Order: sequence, then structure tokens, then C-alpha cells
Amino acid sequence: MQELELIERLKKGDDSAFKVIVSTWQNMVYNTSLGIVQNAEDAEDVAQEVFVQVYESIEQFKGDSKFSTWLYRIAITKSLDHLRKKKRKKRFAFLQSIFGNNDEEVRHQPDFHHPGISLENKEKAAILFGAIDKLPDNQKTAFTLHKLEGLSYQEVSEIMENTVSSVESLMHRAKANLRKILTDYYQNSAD
Amino acid sequence: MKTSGHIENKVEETLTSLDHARRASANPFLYTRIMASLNAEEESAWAVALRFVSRPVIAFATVLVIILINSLAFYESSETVQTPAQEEDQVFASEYNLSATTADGFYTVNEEQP
Repeated sequence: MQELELIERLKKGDDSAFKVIVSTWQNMVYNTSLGIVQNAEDAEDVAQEVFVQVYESIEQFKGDSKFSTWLYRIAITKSLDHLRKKKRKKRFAFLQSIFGNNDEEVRHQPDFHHPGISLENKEKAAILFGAIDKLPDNQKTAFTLHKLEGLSYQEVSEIMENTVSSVESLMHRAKANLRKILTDYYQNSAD
Repeated sequence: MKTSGHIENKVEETLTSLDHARRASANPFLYTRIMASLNAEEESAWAVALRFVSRPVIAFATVLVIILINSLAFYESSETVQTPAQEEDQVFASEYNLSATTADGFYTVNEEQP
């Protein structure tokens, strides 16, 4: 009830309602983006873009789904777009370095350490994030929402506008791919 | 030495390493950043207009419209343009109170005579 009231107030241009919306959902949006883009600064930029879009297009929210579901959709779309742009830039920088037009070397992305992971799992989680980054977009989204945000398959299916069985199938394929990537990683690693 | 069982264990442990992860917290100044970004967008209405005008589709359409207007103007003016000979005839005709056709005839007659 309070959620709908806030949205109605925001539709009327009430900035204080927007402030409440941001403080209520900022961690959810940030954590989702962080899981996908795997960089704290980038996730902050994405979270900012998400709320700017919410402010500008709140009229488009018709209340057919939960507000959090709508927010998750925007956060995922923005995060995946951000990743695509980053990969494009990286490819271009690589090409420039080949042709000698770019003095800046193509830097390898360092291991990502999620701030919410306990110390004993930090190293393994960093390896897992590296593997998640290699998954196709839909598997990456389903896995991140389920594992990092702790959402049920039902909730993930609502966000991804899919059936529960297709989310189950996506998760199954994601785990199989991750097993393969991790097995290769441990076979080739020194220890 | 890496046995397949050892690797499998490591893989399974790695897969469950996110299981009890806490939610990461956003920057406490996120709202301030969002509002600054929204205000900056409002201020740069000219920048938005400039970006719109400089889009390739808009630029191409503008060039097409200019070419079209020029072609139309050229076509219109070429229909009403008078040749110097006709203008001379008209001046001659008006000077001697003759119609243009009579003047043509006068020329024809005079030119035929030696």
C-alpha cells in the first residue's frame, strides 16, 4: 500500500517520495548491478542510471507487476548494456594497440571481490565471478538473481518474463557451464 | 597432484561460495548523485537539441529538404524566364504601340528585304 502511495506521489512530481524510493531500493539495485558488471564504480554508475530512468519514466509503470520487479528489469537491462559497451571499448582498444595507435596497454580486469562475501570464501567467490562473467546473458542474469539476490525461481521468472520451468532449465545450463569452466580452471591452475 | 575427485570437490566448493553472501550496500550519497545528474540533464536542453540535430538521419533529411526546395525554386523560375530577344521585342512593341506579333512580322519583312 505504501509502495503504491509513493509511486503515485512520484508521478505527481514529489521529490521527497523519490528520495524514499531511492533509499528503500538502492541496495537491491546496486547489488544486482554489482553481480553483473563486477566492478564497484561501474555498478554505482548503473544504479544512478537506473534511478534516473525511474524518475523520468515512472509514468510507464502501470502496476501490472511489483515495483521491485520493474526495478530489477531496468537494473538488469542497464547492467547488461553497460557490459556490452565495455566489451566493445575493450575490443576497440585491443585493435588500436595492435595497430600501434594506442600507447595504453590493454589491461586485464583484476579479480572481483564482492563486499558481502565472507573472508574464507573470498578467493573461491572471485574465481566463481570470473566464470559467471563467461556465461551467456540470460544464464548470467538467472544465476545472479537466484544466488546473489536470493530470489526464488518464481520471482526470477517474473523478472525475466519467463516460465518457472524455463528458469529451471536456464539455471541447470548455467551450473553445467560453470562446472565446465571451473574444472578447466582448476586443471590448468598451478595448485 | 590433481585427482579428478580433488578437482570436483574444489568445483563444488566454489559453486557454493556465494550461498550466504550479504547484500552489498550502495554509496550513501547515491541520491545526491542522482539529483545532480537529473539537474544537469535539465540544464543542458541546448545540448539535447544539438545532439538531436546532429543525428545522421536528421542531417540527411535536412540536406534532402534543402535540395528539394532549391530544385523547386529553380524549376519555378525557369518556367517564367524570358529570353533577351523576347524582352527586346516587348520594348520595341511598347515604344511604337504595336503588339508583339506585329513586331515579329515587321522584323521578318525588314530582314527579307535587301
